Amino acid sequence: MVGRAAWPLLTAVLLVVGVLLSLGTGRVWLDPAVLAGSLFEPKPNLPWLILSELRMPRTVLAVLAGATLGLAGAALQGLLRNPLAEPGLLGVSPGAALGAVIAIYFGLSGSFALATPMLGIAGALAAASLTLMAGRGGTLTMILAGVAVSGLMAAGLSLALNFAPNPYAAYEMTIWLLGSLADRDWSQVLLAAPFILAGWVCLALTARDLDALTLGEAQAQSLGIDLSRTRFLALAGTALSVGAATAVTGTIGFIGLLAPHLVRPFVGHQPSRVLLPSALFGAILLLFADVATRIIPTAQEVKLGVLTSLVGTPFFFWLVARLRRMSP
Amino acid sequence: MSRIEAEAVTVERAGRAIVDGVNLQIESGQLVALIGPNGAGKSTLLSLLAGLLRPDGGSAKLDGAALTSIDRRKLAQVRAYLPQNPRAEWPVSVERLVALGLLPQLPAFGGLPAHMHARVAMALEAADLTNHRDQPATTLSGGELGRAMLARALVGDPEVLLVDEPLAGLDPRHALDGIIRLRALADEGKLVIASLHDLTLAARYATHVAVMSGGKLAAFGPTSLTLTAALLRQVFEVDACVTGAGTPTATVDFVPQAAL
Amino acid sequence: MCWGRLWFGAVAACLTVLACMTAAASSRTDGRLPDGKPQRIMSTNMCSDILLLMLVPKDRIASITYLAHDQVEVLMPGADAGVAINHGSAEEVVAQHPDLILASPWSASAMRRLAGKVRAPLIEIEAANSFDDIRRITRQVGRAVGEPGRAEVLIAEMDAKLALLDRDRPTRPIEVAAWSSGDTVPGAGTLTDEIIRRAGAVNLARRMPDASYSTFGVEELLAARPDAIMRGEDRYDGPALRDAVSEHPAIRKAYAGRRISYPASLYACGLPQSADAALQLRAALAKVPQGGVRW
Repeated sequence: MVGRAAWPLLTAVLLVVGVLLSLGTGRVWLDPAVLAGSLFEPKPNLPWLILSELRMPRTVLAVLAGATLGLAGAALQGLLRNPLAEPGLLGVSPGAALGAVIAIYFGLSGSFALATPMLGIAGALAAASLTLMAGRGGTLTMILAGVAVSGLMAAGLSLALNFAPNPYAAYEMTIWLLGSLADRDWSQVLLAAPFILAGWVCLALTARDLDALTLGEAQAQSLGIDLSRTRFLALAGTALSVGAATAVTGTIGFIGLLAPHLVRPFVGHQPSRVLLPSALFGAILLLFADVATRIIPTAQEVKLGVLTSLVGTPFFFWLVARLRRMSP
Repeated sequence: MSRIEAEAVTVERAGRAIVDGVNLQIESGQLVALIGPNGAGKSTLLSLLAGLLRPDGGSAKLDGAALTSIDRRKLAQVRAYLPQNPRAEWPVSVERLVALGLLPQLPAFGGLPAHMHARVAMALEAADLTNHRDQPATTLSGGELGRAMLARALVGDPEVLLVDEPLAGLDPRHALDGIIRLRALADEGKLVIASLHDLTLAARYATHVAVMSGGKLAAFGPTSLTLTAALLRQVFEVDACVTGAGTPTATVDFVPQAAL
Repeated sequence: MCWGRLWFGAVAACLTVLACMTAAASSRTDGRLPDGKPQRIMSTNMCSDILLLMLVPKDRIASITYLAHDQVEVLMPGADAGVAINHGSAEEVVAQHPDLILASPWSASAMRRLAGKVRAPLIEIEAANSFDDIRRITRQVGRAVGEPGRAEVLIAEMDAKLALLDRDRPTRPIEVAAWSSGDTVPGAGTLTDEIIRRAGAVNLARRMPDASYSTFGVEELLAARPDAIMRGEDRYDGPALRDAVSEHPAIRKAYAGRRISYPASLYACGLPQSADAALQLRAALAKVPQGGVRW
């Protein structure tokens, strides 16, 4: 186990390495020296074009989306005191995807650029409120409610596919849902960023309340915590950040589940202390996963959401096995 | 000097009064044992008096102000509450768990100020948990966790303490320990209300008893005058033998009514 | 591999024999006028819809596919007015009672069973990957619908245009990428490739190791540095994500004035008008600025 003191250093190093790798790798191999040199060459030049218009927005998006998922996962786990809570499992990501699909494929985003993030947020909000409302009363009910809401959102997505304007659009929707950061541009990043940041602020404001919830709802309330405010902030923060991020990236699962669990051995279990490290680790995980999609030598680029699910599912199994051991 | 008053407080759930027109006045220096059969409304009354529940009728007041109108944070600074079987949801260290009791006192931003660390250390010391300081709270035994939770409640030095069944599930030594601690707090001038099932401990250590039955307050008064066999027979439907209520050697014994 | 092929061949042969038998059987049935021309033709293949509309008068068409309308609006506006549509379903085949069914190879086996039931001959129309294929298919459909002469006229028109294209080939070959989906780029052996070649350009995707369809990200496209980027347009293209990708600012910046839009339907379906598409492309190529892309 890495010493707790070395932990911030490790995070920083991983983050920097992740960012550099993300800027340095692509389907097209460009010498890092050439990439760095392109800064000083007369513009536009090809390496600069690729760096500034393709890899930078992609990297920024990986950090934003990864941090969002890590932060939302940690906040939801704290709020529900449930180690399985995660935007994907609670139906928030599918809800956001549904909103975004409706915006993209039924022409709303064409006439109004903000439609995609806003519908993504609306979808996430609807899904999250539905899950929280239906799942009051414990870990199991919450997970079941998440499954139900995810199912509902999946049905909505199927309906959207069903009503796809043409077969090509249906195919493209399916591919988009797999989640990817490839070929995103600055305008998409800038469109989503304000919502993502606003969501982060909401989630960060819950930190102390989440700590109090370590003692259970009754004690938290007795400590002066307004639980309805806490739930609202967590809900709004998750919907804003996950909704906006998903609207740009498609659904990316398991980062929100993995990140908090990865950092707890280092920073302890106090919910407020998990938030920031979990966000950073979410960003790191997504950066590395996205780099992996680019360097795995396949004819078709492996979609990011597919990769995170492939890596995340065994972890989920491990978590389930551990929970089973813990609770007879 | 604090004072809690209940004026005809009523709580209804699904058309049934769970707490039905209860009038009560409790002051600092009292350890009130809230007793009564299962489902008598003890926990609900405690939540009401803690200001966590809004009464459907009547009002509960702290020092003359309706509890529900007091700012949550201000209230949290003077009143501590422990629910039944409190448990730690995350394996945080005992020290962190106890420090959570200082949340209402914390500045808006930043961590625990230096002078508060000393208060946590004192609370741990008082609860005899200094050795367990770094242990995850989820690995504590029932008695230890109970002490840790009480330390959590007391670390902010509240004037008023409401505890729901603090002795449930404790072995005799820890139960005795717990009630003695509560009594000591009352003797220090705090207002303590604890719902109890162990009537012997209530008879020995409580300064006052409040007896709930079917949502109504059946009796309230100093232990020696109130905790009588007649009352127990009426409320618990058992024949009881009460000796020396209000003294450290009091006992309460039951026999089923049918046996006589 | 060999055995696989043999098997495949055997199965195909069996199917063909079966098909011929069915066709022969059904050709003996009534439902045809004395001159032998089918009167209720049903097209269940999007690519044969247009061909059918060009070859026979509307009153001899039972139905065309629901996908045809947008393409018709581009190529021959109004030509499908009053023509019934089908979704390729069994019920429609039974209800419309066609005397000839035009089907794609993918739906052929299912369609063939149905065709047997309603005793209508079925013509399987393969996808065209070259102008030779277009000639063959046009003749095939022409013969089937009883209008071989009309088919020859269409082919002659097409060949005249192709001859025109071949006569004055540009001296400066431009390299282009047909990057419409933001995903796959048609390479050697596709109709798109042939249209690009006839228009006098070089298909960038021929450079790629993957023969028919390669996948391309924006990054790879930029690095491959074609002289121009072609983008498919369809009337039925609803709003789609690929717009966002082919409108990627990196491409907008680097390829200002070097982006060519093309009618995707004429590249996907081999039709006599695909020669017009090549002519259009020739004209568009002429407008591409001299010299390579400057970064």
